[in-house]
Amino acid sequence: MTLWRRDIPLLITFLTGIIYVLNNVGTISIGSTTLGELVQDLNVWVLIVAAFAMGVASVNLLRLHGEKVQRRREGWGYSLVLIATMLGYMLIGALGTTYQIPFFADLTNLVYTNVQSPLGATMWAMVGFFICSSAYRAFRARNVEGTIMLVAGILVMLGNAPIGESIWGGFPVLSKWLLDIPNTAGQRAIMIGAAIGAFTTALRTVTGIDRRYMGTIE
Amino acid sequence: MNFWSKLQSIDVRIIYITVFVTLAIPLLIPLGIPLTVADNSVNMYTLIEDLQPGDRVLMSLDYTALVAPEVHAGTVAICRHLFEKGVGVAMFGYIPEGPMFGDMAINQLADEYDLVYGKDVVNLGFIPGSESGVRAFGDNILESAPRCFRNQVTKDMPIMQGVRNAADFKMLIGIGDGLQVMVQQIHTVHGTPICGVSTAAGTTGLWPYVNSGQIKAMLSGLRGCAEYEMLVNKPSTAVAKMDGQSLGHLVIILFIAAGNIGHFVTKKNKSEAKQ
Repeated sequence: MTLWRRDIPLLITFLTGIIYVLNNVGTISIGSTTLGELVQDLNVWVLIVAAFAMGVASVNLLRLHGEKVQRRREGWGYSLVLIATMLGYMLIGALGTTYQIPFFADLTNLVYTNVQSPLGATMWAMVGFFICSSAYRAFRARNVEGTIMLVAGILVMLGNAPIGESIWGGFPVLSKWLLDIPNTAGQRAIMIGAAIGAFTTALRTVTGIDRRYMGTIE
Repeated sequence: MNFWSKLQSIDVRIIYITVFVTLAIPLLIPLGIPLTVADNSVNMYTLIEDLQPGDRVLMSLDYTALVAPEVHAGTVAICRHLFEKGVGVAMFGYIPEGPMFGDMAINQLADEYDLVYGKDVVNLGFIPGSESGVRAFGDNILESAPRCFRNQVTKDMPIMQGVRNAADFKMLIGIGDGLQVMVQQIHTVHGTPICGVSTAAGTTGLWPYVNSGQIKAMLSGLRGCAEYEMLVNKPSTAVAKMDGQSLGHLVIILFIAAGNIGHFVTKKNKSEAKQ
């Protein structure tokens, strides 16, 4: 049992990881093919697996909400709306986009432009209100760090809005300096830290130390 | 609670109403606050201006309806510039909604520029698999997108003739949240020059790539899109929203200033009372 549930998945992960690592070392031939071609094939597999994963997720969503509707659990009405919307939009999307039936193509765009777009834009626009409220409460010059953040925030805001430039031409210059120097330094530190972290995780996974992806913590 | 203490804790409803009114007024009555064009936008314009008729570019549309009001104007403005120059555009996206915005832009500009789908422009659709998907797409475009968003076979299209991988395109223009992925999976592997449009919130994270030259030029948020609309002489939705953005920023700053004034005066009053 452990052979199929642990050893073979570990071997597949190890071999796949090694193939990708070796591919970056140089051109290596295996019989009539090269490692690079093998990697390209593996990358296409990723696309297929990812597309299937979306299908599995859709089926899972339907099962979960279908059961909720069937058993009349609390909030089943919302689940019904979700199922109807999902299946309905999937159908008109397929007929309009994949089969290019003009009526359904127009309907797909109409629904998206007039329902999804305004709803999405509303969600994002609300963030503006929250930002204003939280900036008002958080940006207080209580200590040195808070003051630096406050000054930097105001300079960047004035530097990015046309009105800032109308008030004083130096705001965009200061804003650009903040973006170019302190921001770049900080962001690079975060990026390099994250990259080292990702490399460590990859190494742990390839060598079989980290096995959480198999659903077991051993 | 005196006036200065109240300044520190203004009711959230007052803040929301003030922001709403401030944003609504310039949309109804444009103020025409002067807008200058920053170097980044000029760099972007020059990069596209240097392309020749018949060249091909990839355009990665990686945004949803949430940020479309901020960056979609950039997609349209850049497409206008590309189509005006006779540059072929192959769109795709690794976020499912992205290619939908591509199709909207194509439909919007098709008549204006007499676009022939498959010759001047193609929408290769959604590429699943996130970063790995982008890598696979960059390595073998026709195999990753055998059929386009409109369900047509891509290998027969004039725009896709001679295309094998991302290196066969003069440039990749990323719009939305995908620029970092494009640098890592397309530019690093195939050397395709990258430029694009990022959300204002995403600009800080992408700026190191601009400084290093891995991203050749980048428009930042709504302002960048508005500047590009000015550069292509087609002021549109982004330019119209700039007055609102200016006043919105000003209101936030005024609220922050009010909170800080209240904080300092209260602190001063307290220390004086102690003495």
